[in-house]
Order: sequence, then C-alpha cells, then structure tokens
Amino acid sequence: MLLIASLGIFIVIQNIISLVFGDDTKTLRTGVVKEGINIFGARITPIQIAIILTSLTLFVITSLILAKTKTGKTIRAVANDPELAIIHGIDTNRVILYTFGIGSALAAVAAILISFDVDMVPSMGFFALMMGVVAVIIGGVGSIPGAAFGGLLLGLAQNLGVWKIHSKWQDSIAFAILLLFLLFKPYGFFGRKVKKVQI
Amino acid sequence: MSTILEGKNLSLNFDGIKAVDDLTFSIEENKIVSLIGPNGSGKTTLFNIITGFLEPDNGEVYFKGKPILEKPPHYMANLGIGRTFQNLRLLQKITVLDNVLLAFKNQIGETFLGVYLSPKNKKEQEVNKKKAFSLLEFVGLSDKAQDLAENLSYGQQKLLTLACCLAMDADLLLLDEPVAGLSPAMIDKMFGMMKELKKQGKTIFFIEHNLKVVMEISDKVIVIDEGKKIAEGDPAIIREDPKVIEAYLE
Amino acid sequence: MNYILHIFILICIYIILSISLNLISGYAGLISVAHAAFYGIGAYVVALLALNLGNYFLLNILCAIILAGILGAIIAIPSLRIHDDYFVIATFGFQIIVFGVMNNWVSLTKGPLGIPGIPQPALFGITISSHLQFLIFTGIFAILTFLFTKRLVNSPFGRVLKAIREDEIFALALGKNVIKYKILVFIIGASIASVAGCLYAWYITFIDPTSFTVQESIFILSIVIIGGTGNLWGSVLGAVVLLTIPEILRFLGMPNAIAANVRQILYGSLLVLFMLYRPQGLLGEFAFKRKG
Repeated sequence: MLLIASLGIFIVIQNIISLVFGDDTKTLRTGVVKEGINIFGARITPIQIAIILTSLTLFVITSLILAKTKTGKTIRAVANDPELAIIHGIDTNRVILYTFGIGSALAAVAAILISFDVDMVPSMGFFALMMGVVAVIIGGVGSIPGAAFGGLLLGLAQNLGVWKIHSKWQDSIAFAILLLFLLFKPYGFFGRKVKKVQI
Repeated sequence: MSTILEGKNLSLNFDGIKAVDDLTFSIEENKIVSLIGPNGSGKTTLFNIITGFLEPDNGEVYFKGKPILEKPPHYMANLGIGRTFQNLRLLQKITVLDNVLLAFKNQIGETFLGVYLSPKNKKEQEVNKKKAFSLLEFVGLSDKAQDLAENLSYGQQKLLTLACCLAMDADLLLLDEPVAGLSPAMIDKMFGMMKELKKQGKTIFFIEHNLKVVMEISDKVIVIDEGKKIAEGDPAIIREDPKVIEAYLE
Repeated sequence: MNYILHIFILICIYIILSISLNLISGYAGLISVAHAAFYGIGAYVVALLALNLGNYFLLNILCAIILAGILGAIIAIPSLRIHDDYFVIATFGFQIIVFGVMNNWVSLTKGPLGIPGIPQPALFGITISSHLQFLIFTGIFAILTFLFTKRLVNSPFGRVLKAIREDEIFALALGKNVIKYKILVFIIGASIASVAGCLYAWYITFIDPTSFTVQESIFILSIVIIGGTGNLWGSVLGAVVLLTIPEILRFLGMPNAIAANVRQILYGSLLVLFMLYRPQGLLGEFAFKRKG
C-alpha cells in the first residue's frame, strides 16, 4: 500500500517540479569548469572528491546508527518482526515514518551533491530511483553495507560497460543485471532471507 | 495396520533456538493420535514441516511411504493431507458454501480452459454443491450455507474448517487445536465427529494442550517438549510417565 | 464531434488496459508496473509486422498476443518464486528494459523517432479509418475483454484468485498451486494489454516510446486502484474518470503548456488520496492489505 502511495507521490512531486521550475536543464555549478586533478591517470574534480567523502561519511554514520544506537535497533526490530515489535511497545507506524524520512533525507543529500557535478532535470529522481533499486537488490535488501557495495558495483559495471557498449544502453544494462540477480541471487550478496508470512 | 505418516530425525533451528530437535514419530492408518506438549514446544512447527510450510534442517517425512519434504504445500494437500490452523484460516468474505466448494480437488472450472468449456464445468459445480451440502450437514452447518463465513461464531468457523478438510478428500487430517476455545457441548460434538471420521477410515493427528481432554479419544499420544519427543504411546501409560508429568509441571 | 469520439476511443483502449491490469493486481493481488511495456509490445509488434510483412489483421494481432504472453511468462516465472515484493521490482526492471529496447534499438524500432504510417486494419474488405468506425472497433474489443474477464473471475478459477488474494496460505493448504495461478493470470493480463497496444497503433497510426513508459504503467495502475480493485465496472469507471478530467480542464481554458503536468499531478494526487482514505477505490470490494 505504501508502495503504491509512494508511486503516486513520485508522480506528483516530479510534475510539480516540472511546473514550477520548468523542464529545462539547470546547473548548480559554481565557478569555471576546471579540468580536475590527475590521480593515477584518471581525472577527478574537487566536487567529485567531496561527493566520495560525503557519501563515505554518511554511509559510516548510517551503519553505526543502525548497528549501535537504540533508534537503529528499533528500526531493525520493526523490519524484522513488526508484530513482535508492537508487543514490545514500539510504535511501529512512527518508526516507519521516521525511517522513511531519514531515507528521503539521504536521497536529498545525494541529489544536492550530484547536482554540483552534473546538471539537474525534473526526471533525475527517477533515474536515481532506478539505480537505487538495482543497487539494493545486488547488495541485498536489509543491508546498508550491501547497498553501498551494490551501488559501487553497479556504477563500475555501467561505466566499464560504456567502454564497450554504447552509453544509451546503460540503463538497460543495469536492469538486465537486476533481472539476472532476481533470477539467480535474489537476496543479493549480503541480504537476509525475507521473512515470509507467519503461519 | 500400515503407517500413514512418519517423521525421522527432524530438526529445525530458528536463529539458535531448536524448534524441533531430532524428532522421530509414526502414525498408523485409521487411528486418532494426539500431539501434546507445553506452549512453544514445537507442535505447530511440526505440523508446518509436515505440510510443507517450513523446511527442516535435517530429517525425513514419509506419507504413505512417499517422501514429502522439499515439496510445496499444495503438493501435500493434493496427496491427501488436510490441515486446519490455530488461527482459523478461512475466506471470511465469501459464503460458507463457497468456502467448502473451494476445497474440492481437481475442479475443471479452476483451470483456465475449463472456465470456458461450460457444460462440463456447470455439471461439476452441481455435483460439488450436493457434496458440499452433505458435508455441511455432517458438521451441522447446513442452515448456514449462504451466510458469509465472517458471520459465523468461532465454534462454527472451526466446524467449517473441518468441512473444508473433508471436501479435500483428505485421508490424514492434521487438526491444530480443534477444540480450543469451544464450549463443552461443542467439544463433545467435535470429538463425536472425529470418532465418526475414524469409522469412515480417516486418520486424525491433532494438537492439543490439555492432557485430560485427549485421554478419552486418542489411540496414541505423542508428547513433545522444547522440540524433543519425550514420550509416545498409549494414553494410560503416558499419563503416568514421570517425564511427561515433569514437563507439564515446569 | 470527432474530438469527442477520439476521447471515447481512448477510453475504450484504457478500459482494456485497466481490466487486464485489474486482473493481475486487483484479483490476483500482484502489483505490476510493467503494464505499459506489454501495451507497447503489442503496438510495436503490429506496427513492425504491418509495415514489413503485410497488413494481416489476425496474424499480426496473434503475434502480438503470443509475444506478450511469452515475455510475461519469462518475467513471472522466476520472480514469483521469491517474495511478492520482489515481483514489483522485477516488473519495474522489465518495464525499463522494454522501454530501453524501444528507445535504443534504433535499427529495429527507429528509436525515439517512432514509427509513422502504420496501416489501418482491414476486416472483411472494410478498412477501418473513420473515427466512428474506430469507436465501434475498439468498443467491441472493450466489451469482449469485459465479458471474457467477467467469466473468468466469476468462475471457480476466480474463486481461487480470491483465495490467493485473501489468504494465500489457506489456498495452499487446500491444494491450490498458487504460483501457477499467479503466473497464468500475469500472462493473460499481459496478452490482453498487448491487444490494447495493437488497437492504439492502428488508431493513431504513429507510435513512439514515450507512450509506453513507467509513468504510463503507473497511470494505468491508478485507473485500476481509483476505479476499484477487484471490480470490473470499477475499471471502466476509473478509465472514464481519469480520461475525462483532463479534458474538462482543457475546456476550462488551462494552457496546454502546463496541462500535461497538471494532469499528472491530478492523477498522482488522486492515487495518494485514495490509498490513504479509500484504498478500495470507488467501486472496489477490498483494499490492499497485508495478508497474515
């Protein structure tokens, strides 16, 4: 049910953005486009370094919160067994609410970061959604390190793929990988078995 | 008497807790056997393993001599194992009659092609309706046939789940706490039906908490505690077994 | 007048799409965002066959149905082995890949430029070309789809679907091969959707990938949900409502530039509102619940 509602919100927000800001591509870049620093023959701009550092930091923080803090344990408890969580007095609806909020906030950070590097269009959210889904499946649902690993793997696969296959096929490659995983390794590399309904 | 169901060395671990621990048992055809034990001892888990809803880590299960592990639940159901659930699974929003009709096996109308081959389909539904009514009469629900299942009382819903098992033409009935929450009159009625079903050739394996309650009806009792079998045999002997008494006093 | 006929023709096409998706998502409870992909497959098959092989009505439509059915099976069979939630993701992936093929395999599909000049269908010597003829043509298909699906869901087969939706474990315990039913329903729904695609291609005589995106899938899903899951008349009503509201807006003088966005905002908001306050839709009999 949440899934469908979120699809609806996705459509609404994307179109509001289109309406308010227009469909043209916008940029957030500050200053002149520099060539970037040369590391081992590859070029990387300061912005990209900032992106890597920020994501690493956020990744570590999120993992620690989930693993060590009470909030994190509550979230994992609700994910693992919602009925049992209710019995223990946890307000599962509130937990789901703020987990959603945290996830959305993280997505927003990613968007801001990427906007400094490449341009913005109203449909960029959709692209991120697609990649996020694939990354999570590869890494395994329920595992933060898995998601990070999945994202990294996906990025590598896509960019290496562009080397040999035309870039327009990037998305399709991603989803072909997704389908392969669903077929052969549905829990990804680090995922837990999704708990089926209690009998 | 042949063995209709047997389990050998069944074990299942849930995150470190041994839900079922090296369990071996056998049920003979045409008997009423009860499975008793304290709360959380693994009774429903064993039922779930037998009916294919859970996969054990070790062990084997044989139904009429055939191994049945690692098959999906509908396979067991079609072989002739019917079961009821502790939390009374039914389709609440349809009628009592429709629930029973649903349970019949091999309905042509349930296949895609069968839906459009009208005459055979209609005829089959008529035949099934008659059978369904006689089953509802057996459990005493024939006057409720057109009521929605959700409008039945708790006890009546339990009777309905039994009728569904019978409609499945099951030879072995696994009943999970068939008399829990019922009035004494209803309990008698349920036991009466179980005895009648035994006369008709069925085998019944049922879960129950109450030791006294099962004594009068069981041919054999299997006692488990913390996933392990601690006794199996004649009710009168089981009742005096010190291990059993200890398990229940804990 | 032609404009009104045009709206009605589209309504008929969307009735076919929403009924078939209702079968998958409403009756069998499988949420799918791949419906536009099957819609598109139907359209592209008919377009490519008619332009390269010949305008054979029956043959072309049969090929579309068969291809959609096969692809539906390929997606459904592995994904349903796991959990239903993964199934949504698989349909999402499939939708994107199909769109990718439509958009990028330029040598086959002419990519983003689309395929123009699709010949109109010819039946019994009559070429269907006027708006009125198309209305009758698509109307007949819509009615056939309705009757076909009605027969299916009111049969014992439909009863099993109800069981799967309400209590899958009960259905399994009664010996119903739940996965087989889900796969079958998905194939049937996909095939019917491809028929809608054929009609679309014949009517507009021009197709391009932008008609068959994820957003389109979500739109069709909205029709099903707002109209009412598990209720065929609901799908009809939903199609009528969601296709006429934007027209009313246009009547009220909304500039074209923002009309497209507003239309999407409207149905997106309706979707969210319905999921929050009336998840069974306008006419539906059940709401998406977590089975337990």
